Amino acid sequence: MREGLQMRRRDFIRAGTLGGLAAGGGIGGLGDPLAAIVGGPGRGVAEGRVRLSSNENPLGISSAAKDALVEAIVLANRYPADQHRALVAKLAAAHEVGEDQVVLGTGSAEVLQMAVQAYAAPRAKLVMAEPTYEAVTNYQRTEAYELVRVPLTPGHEHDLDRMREAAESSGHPALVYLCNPNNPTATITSSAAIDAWIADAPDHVFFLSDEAYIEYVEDERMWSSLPWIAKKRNVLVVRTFSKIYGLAGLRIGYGIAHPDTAARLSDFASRNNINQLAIAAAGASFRDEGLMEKSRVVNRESRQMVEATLDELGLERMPTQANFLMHRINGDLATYRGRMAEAGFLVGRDFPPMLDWNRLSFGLPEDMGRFCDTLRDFRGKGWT
Amino acid sequence: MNTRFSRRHFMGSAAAALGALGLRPQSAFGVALRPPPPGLAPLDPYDDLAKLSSNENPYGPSDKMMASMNAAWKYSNRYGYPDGDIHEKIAEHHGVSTRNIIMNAGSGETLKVAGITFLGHEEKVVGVEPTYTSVYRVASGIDADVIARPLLADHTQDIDDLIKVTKRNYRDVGMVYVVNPNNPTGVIVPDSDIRQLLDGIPEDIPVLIDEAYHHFIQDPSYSSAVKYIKEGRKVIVTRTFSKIYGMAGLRLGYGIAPAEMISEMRTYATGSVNALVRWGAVAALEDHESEAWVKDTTIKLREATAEQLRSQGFEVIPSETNFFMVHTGRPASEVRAEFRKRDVAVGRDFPPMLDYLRVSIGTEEEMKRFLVAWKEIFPDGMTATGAR
Ligand SMILES: Cc1ncc(COP(=O)(O)O)c(C=O)c1O
Ligand SMILES: Cc1ncc(COP(=O)(O)O)c(C=O)c1O
Repeated sequence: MREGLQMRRRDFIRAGTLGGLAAGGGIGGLGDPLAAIVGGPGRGVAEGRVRLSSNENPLGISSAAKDALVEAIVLANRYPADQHRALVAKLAAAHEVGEDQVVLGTGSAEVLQMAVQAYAAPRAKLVMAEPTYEAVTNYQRTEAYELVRVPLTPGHEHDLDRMREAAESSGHPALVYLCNPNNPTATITSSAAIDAWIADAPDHVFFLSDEAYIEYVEDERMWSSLPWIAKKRNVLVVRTFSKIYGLAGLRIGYGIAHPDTAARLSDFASRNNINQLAIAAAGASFRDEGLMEKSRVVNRESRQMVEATLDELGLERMPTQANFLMHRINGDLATYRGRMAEAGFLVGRDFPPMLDWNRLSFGLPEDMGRFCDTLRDFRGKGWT
Repeated sequence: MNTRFSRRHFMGSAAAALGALGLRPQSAFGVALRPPPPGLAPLDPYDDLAKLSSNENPYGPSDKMMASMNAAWKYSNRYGYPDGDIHEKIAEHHGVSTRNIIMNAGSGETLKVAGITFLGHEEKVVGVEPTYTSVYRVASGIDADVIARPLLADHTQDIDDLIKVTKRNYRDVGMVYVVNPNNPTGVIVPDSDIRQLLDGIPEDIPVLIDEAYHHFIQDPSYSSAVKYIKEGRKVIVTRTFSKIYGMAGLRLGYGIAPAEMISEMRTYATGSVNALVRWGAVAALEDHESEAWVKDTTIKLREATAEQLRSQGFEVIPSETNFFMVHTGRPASEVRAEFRKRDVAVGRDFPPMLDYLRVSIGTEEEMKRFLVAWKEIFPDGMTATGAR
C-alpha cells in the first residue's frame, strides 16, 4: 500500500523539521537534537571527531537549500533532464554566457574528469603545479598524459614560466591545470600573469582553470579566468557547489567554456548525471548573498584564530585565500595527525613533497578554539 | 493517490474496469481529458502529464527509503560521513566482495565508464539495434565504432549472429553489449543464450550485460549473469536503483565485475554518489515488501493494459519489464504527437522499429488515461491496412 509521492513528501518535511533540519533551522541547522548522537554540522562524523581535513564548509546546507531539497523529493523517481536544463539556464544567465557554454558535473571532479578524458591525445602533456590538487592525474585514458609537475615558486605561486616552457616546448597538445587558489597551499597565483600567458598561448595548450575556492578570495591580485571563454576555445573554468555553498555531499559542480569546448566535454559526461536533490539545492544556493557572507565571516573568524595561535607558537604558515591553510609542524606528520585524531580532530593528509607541513581546514569558530587549545597543549608536551 | 482504494478497484477486476473504460471513457473514471487551450501553454504542463515515456517508477522511493534519506541531511556538506555501508551492502546482496563493485551516479555512468575503459581508439562495440544506445553514444564520442545487428523477427537478440560478427571482427572488438531484458522491446535473453555467447566468443573480450530491468522479470529461462562473474569470466553486469526502487532522479547505479576490471574502471570515474541517496539505497535493498509490491503492481497493470490493446487487434510484444512495445502500424512519432495533445507522454523513436510505440507502465490512473487516449487515436482498432 503506498501513498502518492506528494503525500509522502509531507512526512519527509515533517520528519526533517523534527530533526531541526528543515525550514527555518538557519544555516547549519545548529539546533539539531540528533547532533549529539551522530554529529551535527561542523562536528566530526567519524566517531565524534571534528573534520578539519577535507576543506568542507562547516555551516552545512543553507535553510533555503534544505527547503528546495524537500520540494524536490517528489522528483526522486523522475529523470532530471528538465531540472538540469533549468539550472544550466540559471547559471548561464548569471555568468552572462550561453546555455551551451555550461556543463554540469557530479561535483567539479566530474568536470575535471571530462577535460582530462576529452583532451587526451598521443604524446600530450599534463602540466601542473607541485603540490596541487591531484584529481586530474586520475581519469586518464589508455593514452596517458606525460605528467609534468612544476614546483611552486618560493612565494607559493604557480611557476608560470616553467609551466609555459613545459607546455609549449614540444609542440604537442598540453593540458595545463591551474588551481587558483591552490589546494593544498591556499595560496593564489597572480591573475595578471595567467592572463598574459593565456593571451599568447597557442591553441594546442588547453587551460583548465579550477576556481573551487574563488568565492573566499580577498586578495585583489586574483580574479576569474572567465572572461577568456568569450574569445578562446582553449579555456575551461571550473566551479563547485561543494565549498562556499556547503553541498559537498550532494555532488554538483560545473564548467564554463566556449560552446565547442562545452560540447566536446559533454561527450565525456554521463547522461542525467546530476541528482534532483543536488540540482534543487544548488539552484537555491547559487549567489545567495546571505549564505556566502555568513560562510566568509565564519571562515575569517576561524582563520584569524588559527593564524594568531600559529604565530604565538612560532609555527610558520602560508598566507591563505581559502577555507584552509598550510602550516609547519615540528616532527613527523603521521604521528602528528594520529595524535590530533586522538584529541578529536581529523586534519590534513600527505601532500608530498611538503611533508613537514600540515593542511588544516577551518571548522566552526568554537571548534577551532578547541583546536587551538589542543595545539598549545601539544607544544607543552613537546609534540610540535 | 490512495493506492489501497485504487488497487481494490483495479486489480480485483482489471479487465472489467478497463472494458467499461472503453465504453464511457470520460465519465466512468473521472479522468479529465483536457486539450491545452489554443495558444496557451498550461501553467505547469509537466504535472498534468501521464508520464509513460522514460521507464520510470511512478511510485517513487518507499516510506522506509524516505525515512532513511531523511536522517542523512546533516551530511550534505561532507565528503566523508557514515553512509550506511552501501558499498558493502551491495556486495553482500550479490555475494561478492566490494572489490567487485563500482558505484556510480546511475548505471548510465557505469555504462559510460565501461565504454571508456574497454573501448580503445577505433575499437568496436558489438550489440543489437534497437537497444539502449548510451554505450553506442559513448563509443562515438571517443572515436570508437558500433556494430549494431538487427533483432530476429520475434524481437529476440540473435546470439548466433552476435557470436559470428564478434569472431569475424575479433581484432577490433573491444566489447560486446547485451541489454537483458532489452530496452525498448522488453524481451529477455534466456540464460542458455548468454552462456552460449560467453562460450562462443574469445574469452578475452569483455561482455557488458545491462540488467537495469532485472527485478521485473518472471520468465524462469532468464537468470542474472552475475554467476558468470563468480566463474571468473570477463563479464560486467550493470544494475540500477532507478527502476524497481524509484530513484531515477537520485542517480545511483553500479557495476559488478571481476576485481581487475573494476579497478581498471575506477580510474575513469569520480565515484560521486549523493550522501542522502546512499542511505536511501541501503533501505531499498532491505525493503523487500515494497519491492514486491512495485513488481506485482507494475506487472498487473502491464498485463491488463496489453490485454486491452490485444483485444482491439494490436500486437503487443510480450514484456518482462516496466514497459512494453505495441505495433501501431503507422509512424510512432505521429501517434506520440496525438498522445501529447491528450497530456500523455509516451516513448521516443527507436529506429528501425519506427511503427512501434514504447509505453512505460505508470500508475493505474495513468494507464487508464493512456487507454482512453488510445481509443480516441485508434477508434477503429487495428484494421487490415494498419490503424488509421
Ligand atoms: C581544487 C579543488 N578542485 C576540485 C575539488 C573537487 O570538489 P567537488 O568535486 O566536490 O566539486 C576540490 C575538492 O576538494 C578541490 O580542492
Ligand atoms: C537498459 C538501460 N540501461 C541503463 C539505463 C540507465 O539507467 P540509470 O542511469 O538511471 O541507472 C536505462 C534507463 O532507462 C536503461 O533502460
